[in-house]
Formats: sequence, structure tokens, C-alpha cells
Amino acid sequence: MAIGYAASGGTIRVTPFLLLVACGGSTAWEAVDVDGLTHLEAVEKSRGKGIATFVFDVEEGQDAFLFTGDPEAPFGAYVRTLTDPNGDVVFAARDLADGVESLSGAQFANVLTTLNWPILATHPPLQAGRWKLEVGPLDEEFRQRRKVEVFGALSLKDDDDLSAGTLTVRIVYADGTDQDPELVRGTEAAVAVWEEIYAEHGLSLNVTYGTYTGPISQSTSGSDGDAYVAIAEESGIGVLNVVVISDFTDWQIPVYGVSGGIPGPLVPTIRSAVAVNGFTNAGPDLTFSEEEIRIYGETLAHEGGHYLGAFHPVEEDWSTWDAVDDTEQCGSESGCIQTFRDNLMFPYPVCSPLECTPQHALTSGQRTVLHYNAGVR
Amino acid sequence: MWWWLGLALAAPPELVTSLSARHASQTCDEFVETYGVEALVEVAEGTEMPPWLPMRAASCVGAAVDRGGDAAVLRWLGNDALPGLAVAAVAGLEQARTLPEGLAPAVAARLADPRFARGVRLERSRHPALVELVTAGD
Repeated sequence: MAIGYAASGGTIRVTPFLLLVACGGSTAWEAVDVDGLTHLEAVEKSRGKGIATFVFDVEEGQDAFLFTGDPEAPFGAYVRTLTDPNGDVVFAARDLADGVESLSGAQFANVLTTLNWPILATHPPLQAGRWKLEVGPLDEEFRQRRKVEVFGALSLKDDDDLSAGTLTVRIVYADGTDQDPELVRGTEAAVAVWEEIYAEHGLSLNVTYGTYTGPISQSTSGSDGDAYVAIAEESGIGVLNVVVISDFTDWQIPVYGVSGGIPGPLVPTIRSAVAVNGFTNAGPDLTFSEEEIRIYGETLAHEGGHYLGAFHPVEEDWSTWDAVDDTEQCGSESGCIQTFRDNLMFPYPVCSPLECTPQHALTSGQRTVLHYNAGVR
Repeated sequence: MWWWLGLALAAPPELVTSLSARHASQTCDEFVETYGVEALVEVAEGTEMPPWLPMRAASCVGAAVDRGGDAAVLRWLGNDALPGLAVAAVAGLEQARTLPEGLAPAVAARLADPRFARGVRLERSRHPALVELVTAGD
């Protein structure tokens, strides 16, 4: 039976084929048929101190899950806690509130929240049994609010080998970029570089291409957010959408590639894409050199890394780091460049006048973050 | 001193580093106030890598077109070899409060280049003189 889902905040439209799941918990999940994933969806309303609680069962053989919580407009959200079947709180945003280490985008307030679990190699394997996840819907003053509907989407993967996997990627030419042969040539060559980089880390890409003809910009907020929902709906659940645009007009703080989250959602939302500006990656002559194609490929791999959950090993203040155990906590620009100049997730390419150091490296810990993502299977 | 293309680049290394970041955290206004328009012009015209470094600098010069950036923007609009600088500078115009006289005709002259035209969305511009360039025939 096909059941339509009334979007929360007007941002999510879920594909049909929903079947009610008798999960046995307090959350009324509905199963969605997705190839290679157990995918569940539900709506919970925040109660008490302004907390929406999702309860779900993990079965034997399931190795990781990714949860997205999308509150009704105009609220934002974060994941307050995640509790395992033993009753142990394994993720608590409060414990990360000093902001010195970034574990997941779910620890920060955002327009929607996404948490993959486990994240790090040091986290115990996913345990079968009943889990509980608390979402805090927030108003503009970051106060948790009651009676806010939160749409929850949960993807669980059963993965025999967490050191190898495939990520499904859909490259979408938007903003008329498909009409520019040089941008198409450069993008396809850059995707090949991305495939090479990920192959070095046991990840293969299953890439398809498409186009989007409606209005769109780099911004995934406001009216343009609907464009990203539409693109993700066409791709389906469990796909990383990479949207290639050319528009610069809304550049307040320009970005050359931006991920919809760390990690990003696997269901259609306003944040369900990586957006890249093809022109900026081509440079002033708008023609891709071999070096620019390599750097463009690294940009795709870098943003894809964010989408799968990896943070920069160090931010540009040189005093905040990712939570990965084997990324050194360097403390100065020169020291961090020395340590991470070839690291894919370093905040910027390290360049001399005419070339930049290739950035293909990931530590074992960073690699684990990517492989644990439920979108990699 | 920062050496670039064999020439001494007077622009501060911190500016080059900040503009090279994959996720810029500073606005063009902050760059203009801190480093001045001339330094941004120098980065736009004197650097190549990463490819977004000169582009980002050019957009900030466009943002400062009413604060001394006009000569460089006009120069880029007339340079067929580097259409990206013109595209980036015109995008930056959206952050400028006013447009100097003569700029809209220079943008209009460049619209015949399809790659330039695809990179700008003048119909969304805050400047009526630029909107008119693409809606006059509607």
C-alpha cells in the first residue's frame, strides 16, 4: 500500500511503499523499501522538557545506522543523547559542548540533525537490542521547545566488511552547467580522481549523472532548499547527491564546495547534497588544467568525506580538532601543515605558486568514519 | 614577503591562506577592511593555486567596487582571456551598495560571451541597472 507522508516543515517528501513495522517500542516506525538498507521512518512530538524520543530495535547482523531528525519549521534541532540497549548513554551533546572536539554534526544546533553510529574505531560494535535517541527541537534562541513534530528517518546497514564498501553517487548538473562542455569535461575527469582517491581507502563509487533545470543556488536554505529536496527525491534514499552549479550571485561567504551535513542525510531534505561550484574550480580562465582537475577531484572527495561524517582534522583556529583518535592535535599553522599537508580533510590545499600538494591521505581512524556510514554498503 | 610566480607578492600570507580555505569563514567586507582593495587585486591577478584563490579575491574586489575596486573590475570585464575574474567580480557587485557609472555598459558588453552569461544571474541582482540588462526585452 502506498502511503503519502505529510512533510515536516515542508522539507521532506518521502517515497511511497511504506509498511507499518511492529517494532515493539513506543515509536511507530514505518518501513520503506530501500535496496541494501533497512529504512524506517516515524514522527515524534517533543514532550516534557522539549525532547522528541525515538526508540528503535537493532537486529543481529546490523552494523551501523544513520538517523536524520527534521523538525517542523521554523525549528532547528540537535541530537541530545543516544542510549544503547544496556542503558548507557553513548552519545551526549552536552559532553561535547566545549566545542574542542567535533564528533558529529548532531552535537551542534542546525536546521536538521543527522547522526551516524558508531562513528569511531574505538566505539563498540553496534549492539542488538533496543536503542533510544533523543532529539531537541530548538527555537531561534536555542531553547528546546515542546509540541514540535520531528520527522525521523533511520537507515540501518548489514555490512559484512566494514573496511570495504560502495557509495552511490549521483552527479546532478544544475543551473545550466550541463550546457557548458568544459564544465562537464572537468567534472567527469574530477569524478575519476575522486574514484581513485576513495579506491585507495577501500571505497568504490557507483556514479550516475543527471540534470536539474529549476532555479537553484549554492544556498540550501530558503526557497532554493526545495530544489535540493526535488533532486534528492529523484535520486532516492541512500544516495549522495553532488549538485554542480555555476551561480556566484549569492556569494556572501563563498564556498567552492559545501556538504549538506557532517554527516549528511540519506533521505530527501534541504540539506541532502554536496554542492560544488564548477566555475570556481576552473579558475580565472574557466578552463580546467590537469592540476585544477586533480584539485577539483580532491574537493569532491573532501566534501564527500564531510557527507560521510569526517571533520577537518584541525580547524583553522588550530585549537579545535576532530574526535578521531589517530589525528594528531597539532597546535599551530606550520605544525598542522607539516602533519596534514597531504590529508584529504585538511581545511585547505597546501600550494606553491603553480601546484598544490596532492591531498589523498586519510588516517586509519578517518577511514573508519567513512566506512561506518550507513550510506556505504 | 610572499613569493608568487617568481614575483614578490606584497599581499600578506594570511590573506592568501584565508582565501585558499575550502570553507571561507570571513566576508569580503572583513577582507577589504583588514587588507585593503589593492592586496585583493594583487591576489586576483598574481596567483593561480588553488583555483578559487584568485576567484575569491576577484569577487571581493567586486564587492568593493564603490571603494576603489572599479578600475580592476573594468579591466577584468575587458579581458577575454580571463572570463572567470569577470564572473567572480560581477558576483561580488551584489555586496556593493552602489555601482560606479560606466560599469553596467561594460557588463552588458560582456554578456555576448556565453560562459560569462552563464556564470552570473543578473536577473536576481540588487542593482536595477544590472537587472535591466537581462530583462529589457521581456
